[in-house]
Amino acid sequence: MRLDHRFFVLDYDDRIVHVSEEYHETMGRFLGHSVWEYLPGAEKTFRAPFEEARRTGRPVEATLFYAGGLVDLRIVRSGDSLRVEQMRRTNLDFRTLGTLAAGLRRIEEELADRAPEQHDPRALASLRVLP
Amino acid sequence: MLDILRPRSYDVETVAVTVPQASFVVLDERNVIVEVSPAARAGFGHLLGCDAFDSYPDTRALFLPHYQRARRTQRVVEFVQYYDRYVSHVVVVPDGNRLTVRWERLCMLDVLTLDGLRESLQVALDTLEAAEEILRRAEVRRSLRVVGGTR
Repeated sequence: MRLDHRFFVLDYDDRIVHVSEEYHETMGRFLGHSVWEYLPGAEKTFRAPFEEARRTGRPVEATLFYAGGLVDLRIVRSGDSLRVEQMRRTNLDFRTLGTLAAGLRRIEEELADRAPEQHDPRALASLRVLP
Repeated sequence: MLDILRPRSYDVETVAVTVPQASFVVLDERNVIVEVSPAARAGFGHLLGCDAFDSYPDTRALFLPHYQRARRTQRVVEFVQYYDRYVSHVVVVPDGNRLTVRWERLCMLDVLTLDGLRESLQVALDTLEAAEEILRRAEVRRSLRVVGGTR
């Protein structure tokens, strides 16, 4: 997994304590706030890899669905902190049901390819109900 | 007609205090947008004077057949359509070759999480199905009235 140099750092309580320069504009105002305020609705999906990184102390890589597309994450623990690198991999095309269905099929394939790293076990099951 | 499909927030109590303005555009015979209602200005105001299908080419196959039908029959055409996260109820009112296209959004996709997308897509598909059925029945009723001479 190749990620860029944009990252943010969380404390032991999932509060954002540092953001890289590239994130200042979008995340700067969330400094000191819970990361779940910055990523509403993401907790159910993102918490598992965060906890795994905290528990094992090993870097964790994951590809998850969030905000209309797939996001690559790399999470590295450093003491009580987590450094989170993220990069958007794909965006769904929501224009028509046809483009949406095609995008969902591509996402399903990508998630299947990355299954060993998958931290969102319900994701594939969820996709099966989609057209 | 499609009141049954509206979310709970459209209940009578809510409607009594918030009367939503109608979103509509008027198209000329070449599908150029010649008028935009105040409620639609945020999304369409900048397209005044533009061909509706040049601005959104992928909507041509979805909307043009309904517009052509309205022009051909000179009757109001109603349909429900999914486009870009929304399911909308669309009413096309012909006046010669000019069309007033009104719409109301019935539901939208929640794209934040896969769970949200799954649930909202199911709602959207159910809404499309239910609305199409309602409109089909209404079309049959209208046809019956024509046959019975009570048009």
